[in-house]
Parts: sequence; C-alpha cells; structure tokens
Amino acid sequence: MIDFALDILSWILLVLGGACVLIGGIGGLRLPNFYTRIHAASLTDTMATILIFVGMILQAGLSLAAIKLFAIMLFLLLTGLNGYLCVGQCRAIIRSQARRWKC
Amino acid sequence: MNLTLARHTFQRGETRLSSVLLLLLILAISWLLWSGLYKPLVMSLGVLSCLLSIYLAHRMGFFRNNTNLLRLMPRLPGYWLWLLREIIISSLDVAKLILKPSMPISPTVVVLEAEAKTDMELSHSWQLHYPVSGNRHVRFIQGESIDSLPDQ
Repeated sequence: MIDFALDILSWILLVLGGACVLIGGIGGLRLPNFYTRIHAASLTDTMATILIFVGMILQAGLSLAAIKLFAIMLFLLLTGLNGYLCVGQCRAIIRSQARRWKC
Repeated sequence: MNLTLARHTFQRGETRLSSVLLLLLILAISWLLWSGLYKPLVMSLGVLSCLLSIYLAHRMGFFRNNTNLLRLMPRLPGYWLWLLREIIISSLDVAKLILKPSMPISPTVVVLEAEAKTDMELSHSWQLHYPVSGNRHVRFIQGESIDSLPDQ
C-alpha cells in the first residue's frame, strides 16, 4: 500500500517536472528578449530539476542511489544557475561596453 | 588596487586545525557514500584524493578566508528549505505568465547595491538568488550600471 502511494507520488512529481520543462521551452520561444528568456530557462533548471530528481529519489527508495541522486541534484542546481549568472553578466557587460564605444 | 593591499584584504585569518579536520571528515563521508565500494584499492584512492583536496583547499586560502564557513553548515538545511519555498513561488509565477495568452510582462533592469561583505557570501547569494528572483524581475550585475533595458 505504501509502495503504491509512493509510486503515485513519484509519478506525479515526475509528470510535474516534465510539465515544467515543457513550459520552460514554451517560454523560451514566446518571451520577447534575452533576459526574460533566462527566466523561462531557469524554470527548467530549478523547479523541473527538483521535481524530477525528487521523483527519482522516491523511485530509488532508501539506498545509496538515492543519496547519489540527491548529490547530482545539488550539483546541477549549483552549476546550472551559475551558468545563467555568467551568461547574463557577460551579455550585460558586452552590451554596456558596446554602447560606450558606440558600435 | 595596490597588490599588497589586495593580499592583505583577501588573505586574512589563521588556518585552524579543527576546520581542516572537519573538512577532511566531510570529504571522507562523501567519498564513502558516493563510491559505495569498500575495496582496499578504492579506499586508498579515496584517502589520497581527500588529502589532495585538503592540500589544494589550503593552497587556495580556503581555511584562512572562510574560517567560519564550515561552522555555518548546520544552518544549511533551513536555508535550503527557505530557498525551495522561494523557488516554488517564483516558478509558479513565471509559469503562469508564460502560459497566459496575453503575457502581461514589463521587463525592467534594476540596479541594486550588494550588501554582502565577503566573497563567499557575495557569490553564493548571487548564484542562487539570481534566477530565483524571477518574480521580481531583478538582476544583479557586477560593477556595471545598466541605465536602460539593454535589449531591443
């Protein structure tokens, strides 16, 4: 019974995570400019990552695999968000330099 | 900035043995948990890599600059919970905006003063809060003031 409930819960989380990825993709197409598109992309990278990994941890149960999945989730969150920060900053700095040099 | 001044500001504090041992313990636990193999060869490789990591951290000035960092670790789960709440709130907001056919957004770039004092505080809060703050349309850009919306 508990197994069944955990199965249901993990599938709900996995489907919600998939929906987050889809919405992030739609946002990447619909939103008007670079900075707003980063928001859509970060939806994929934060919420979808968390939901999918928690779903997979529930599927894995109490084992070493669950701990590894948790670690992968943490590293994905840290590195992915860092990547957005770098891209956003580079873009802003390049833009402001370009305006200063009038090119 | 003067080089000697920079060295003074960035390399302050003393290396404490307790910090080194704490980091060694954390590294050893994570090696044991993530490898899951308890053969002599793997274990000795683990010991070697833990010691190498400690040495590299020492050379990078980790123990001198961040003396209190490891002692903040018990507060990390609470912080993660708070962050999770913020992520959920902002994700729901962004998802709603994206799925609305009219898409009522007004993108703006805001310049803020950072209140963080140390490097670690600064990088950590930037890293994590930047995409999370999606619902507020706030952007942190280091050193450069952006006077108008850069795009369009």
